[in-house]
Amino acid sequence: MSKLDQLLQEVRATLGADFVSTDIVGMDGISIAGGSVSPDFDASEASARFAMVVKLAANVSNKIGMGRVVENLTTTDHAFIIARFLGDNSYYWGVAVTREATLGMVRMVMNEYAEQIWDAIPR
Amino acid sequence: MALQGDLRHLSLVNLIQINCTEQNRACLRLRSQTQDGAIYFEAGEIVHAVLGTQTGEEAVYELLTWQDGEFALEMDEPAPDHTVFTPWSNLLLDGVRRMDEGDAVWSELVESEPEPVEEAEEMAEKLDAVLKQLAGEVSGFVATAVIGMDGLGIAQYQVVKGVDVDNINAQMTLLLKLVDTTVGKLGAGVLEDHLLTTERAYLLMRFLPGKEYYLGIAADIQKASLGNMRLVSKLYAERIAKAMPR
Repeated sequence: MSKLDQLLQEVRATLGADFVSTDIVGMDGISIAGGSVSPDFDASEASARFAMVVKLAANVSNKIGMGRVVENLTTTDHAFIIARFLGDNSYYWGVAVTREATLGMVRMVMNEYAEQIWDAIPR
Repeated sequence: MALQGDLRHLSLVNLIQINCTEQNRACLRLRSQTQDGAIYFEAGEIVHAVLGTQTGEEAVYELLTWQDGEFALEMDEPAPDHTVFTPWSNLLLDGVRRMDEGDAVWSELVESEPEPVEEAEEMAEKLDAVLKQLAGEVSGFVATAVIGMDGLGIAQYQVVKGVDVDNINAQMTLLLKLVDTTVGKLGAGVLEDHLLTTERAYLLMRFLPGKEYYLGIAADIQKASLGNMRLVSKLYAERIAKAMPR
């Protein structure tokens, strides 16, 4: 198991029953590591679609003078979906959890692991 | 080989967003039962469009009204001409606004009941009062607005001068639309809100009931509390919805 997979497993274990899916995605929309609790979850479609969202978010933030984008948090009636830029913004880390999750804790766990995950991406 | 599909499954707005965001050099050919059109992309913008005898921005606006038809995307096809000079995000917003205005004209013809001026003024006063009150409850407050899905604000309040609220409204609406489409396509439920965290600010967008409008709040990231913003947005979304006429 790669260091990246190992870190994602740790995150998954920390989030427990609230975990839905996670992926490390390049700005080309292709996931390089990840996992989901549902075998039906289409990680490649989710990765590609959210890559478009984070790209547009970066573009929008630049146009309105708000600086570099750190994170996108999407709330639906089913889930919290967090897409956070990593390192030099060439990758983003997506995490989906149920609405029962403690949002503050999920963000704290992502803060804690973001740098380690960036370091573990092969370059 | 060209990417092909049906506009009922992937709308022209989404196709334009994808090609511009991806900075594709490509030609998007469109075909309805009676007409053929094409849109050319280069370096993150629309550079040329043609529909029958129409070219440029007007061709794009006309194509945006198509609800169904077929498309084929040819990559690396250079534009034969340069007829479009408006940024793609403005084109989409103008296109959507024109469609809404078309609907409004049609509704007026059908209903022919004038909107009472007094009611509109009263609504504006109510909204302004609610937004000012909201500002007092958000730590690090910068600006807030009630915005239609055409990107136009119907009420706004800001404490920092020099903020181009109209530009922010338009740009944030584009983002919210893409997020809503993404959530829908992934079957991830019904979108409630979207929070963009940048190095300077929290930008929160929460749909009002009916999803024709949303509440936008911007706050200074150094002073704001994410929990406070989300709570206040939830409480005030309901109050704002009640202050708006049906």
